[in-house]
Amino acid sequence: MRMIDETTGESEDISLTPPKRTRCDAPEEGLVERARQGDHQAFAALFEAYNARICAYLARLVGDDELGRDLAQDTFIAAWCALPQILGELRFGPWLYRIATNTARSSLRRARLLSWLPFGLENVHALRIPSAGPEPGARLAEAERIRLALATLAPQARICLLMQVEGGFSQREIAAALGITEKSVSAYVSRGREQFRRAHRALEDETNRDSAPSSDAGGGEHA
Amino acid sequence: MNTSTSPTIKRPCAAWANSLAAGPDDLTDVERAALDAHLATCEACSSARVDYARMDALIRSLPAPAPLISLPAYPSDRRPADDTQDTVTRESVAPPTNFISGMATRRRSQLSPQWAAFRAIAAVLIVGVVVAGFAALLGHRQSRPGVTTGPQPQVGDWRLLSTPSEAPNQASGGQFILTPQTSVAGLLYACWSEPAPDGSALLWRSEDSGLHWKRLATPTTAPTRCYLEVSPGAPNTVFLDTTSSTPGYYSLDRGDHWSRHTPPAGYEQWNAGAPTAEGDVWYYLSRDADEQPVFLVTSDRGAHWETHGFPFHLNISPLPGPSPLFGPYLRVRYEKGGYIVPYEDTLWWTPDYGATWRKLGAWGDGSMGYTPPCGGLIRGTPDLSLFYCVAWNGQFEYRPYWRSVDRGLTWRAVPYGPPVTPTKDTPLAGIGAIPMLLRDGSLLQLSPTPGDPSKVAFYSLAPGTNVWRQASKPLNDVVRLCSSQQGAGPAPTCVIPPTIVITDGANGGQNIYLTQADGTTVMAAIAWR
Repeated sequence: MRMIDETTGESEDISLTPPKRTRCDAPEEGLVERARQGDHQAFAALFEAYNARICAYLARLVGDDELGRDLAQDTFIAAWCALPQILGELRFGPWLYRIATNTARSSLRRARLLSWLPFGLENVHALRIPSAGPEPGARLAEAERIRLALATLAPQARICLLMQVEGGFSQREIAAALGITEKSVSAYVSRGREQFRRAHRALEDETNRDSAPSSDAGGGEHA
Repeated sequence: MNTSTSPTIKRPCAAWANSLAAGPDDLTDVERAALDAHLATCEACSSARVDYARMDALIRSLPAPAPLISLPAYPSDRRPADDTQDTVTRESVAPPTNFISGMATRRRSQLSPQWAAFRAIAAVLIVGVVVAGFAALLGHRQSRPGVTTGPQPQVGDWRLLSTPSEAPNQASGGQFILTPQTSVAGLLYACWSEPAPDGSALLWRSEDSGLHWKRLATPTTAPTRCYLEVSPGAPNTVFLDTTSSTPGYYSLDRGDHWSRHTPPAGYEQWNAGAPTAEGDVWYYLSRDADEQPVFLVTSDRGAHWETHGFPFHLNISPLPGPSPLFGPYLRVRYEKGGYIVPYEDTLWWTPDYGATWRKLGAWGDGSMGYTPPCGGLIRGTPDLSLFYCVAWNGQFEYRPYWRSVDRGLTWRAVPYGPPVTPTKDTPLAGIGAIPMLLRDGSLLQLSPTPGDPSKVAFYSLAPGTNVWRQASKPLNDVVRLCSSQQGAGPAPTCVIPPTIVITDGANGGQNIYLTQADGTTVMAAIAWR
């Protein structure tokens, strides 16, 4: 499907079907079992398979690349430590995302307890983005818009949406991983998508307004 | 460049919203066919689907952080050891009981030097915390000072406040009413409850904590019953007698000159004596025709009034009259003019007298009906960095207090600490037992003493601790409870219960004023050393 961006007039090809992530469950089972027994090489293979995805998921979840990487490290350590406790069949991917999610939650909880947020109206209307500059900055501005739009989502909606979009999990898998009902996941994703859509659109509009030449600029500052 | 605002986004149909948001594996073939059929006829849903696909592509297109270069070092002891891992694993690994029993039976492997050092440090810290806890507990029981760290509030000697020389003798039947201005050190107003023999109101001001008094002139048309209101947010503004339907007066220069003030209709719903002033803004907290709380706000000294509602619907008490616990008690003034209002299990904040509201946090289970679980009383520092939700609920039922150190986002229970819990049978009950908050975040509360519940003492809870201590001796010297036989009659230095006001003091300290049963007032300075 070809989609035209009404704000820029640009068009791009959009697939309505998200790409399915490949998860090699059969070999993974063997790796998980060996890692459970203490096999470093097996766990290293699992690490390689999930490293980039967990880093990306956590970075998007907390809105900070460096923090996301730190949390990813904590996640893998936690997974290594917890694996021997797991009895029976384990779907490693959803389980790892669950650990990652809880690690992020704990981190955000601690950060919220420790940081002293500015307390004023500026916090209520916190959606401020850098002006979209000329072309070299445009990509950065778009990335910033996406991060800010994600940040407006309620935590549970953000988690479910990212696990579906970024992690490639079905809503049933997300429900199992997070310990909530499939119906709840569906509602969270639905709500999250709509919130994200509106926030992103609002940010796009704001960017366009900020970058519009002022009518009373008097000819600008260029020599 | 197109700089116009995008067209309004239409919401997808509610019945199809979840299907639209589903992933590729989440719908059956039948469900997907039904969705496609609907999309062919619904512009809003079709547009949403296109937008969702674009949003997904955008999220996936975000620059990914560089992955970790290598696997983190393996802890040689595969135990979820620290707090984070413990929490994570308990939440993520089922069942927890297996996890715990597994820990108990696990063979200890050889420790790395770093791990051993970490455990040694942790052990030292744990021992230190345990020892400190016992020390604090002992200190609490034995009333020893210095248990908590940091400067402690020290109360100086009590001083009996003088009364103006023109004040009538108490035997005449009137009463000397003291009104401290809490944000200006030493600024006090006082009035006599009855008119002077010539019919005028008797009103005084002191700017040195009652050492010297100046008689204030009042308008000749002023009501003769004296009633004063001052607000911490407007140090020079004073309101005089607006307790009835007659217009009152206000002064913007500490009572030297007066002007008429006409309150808005309905202002008296919560028996408000005068508006609260925050700079040039004055407001009443009242109720509208549906019994719901409202702010009545003016910024032009009453020429125009605006009404701002609250973000929740108040379930009116089945008891006659307004809900006793709603109203002035349910708020904490914020130094920039905002207010905190707890309702049920949620804390609300308004920075502009109800024009806008922000939901801050929640606590408890919200099962208390129209009153918050913490009883409807909240204490907080002016910068909102520390809140206490205190447990008095008007029925002498005490619960643990709740404390928030993150501006109401999260709450933790702290124990109700004074050793004797007041009941409806103890003389000290009700408003006199409500704790106050000192500048350093210490809670200060009067409570019966363990040895003789007919006596009371101040107890304090230092910020960041759960240890209550009996306050210093000077603070408690003055507090002697009248015996039940004495009743409320004149009995110097006994209280039933006392009226206590904490104000700002000199040199960054605070003053505590305590009005006794005989109508006299004593004050002491609080300093932190």
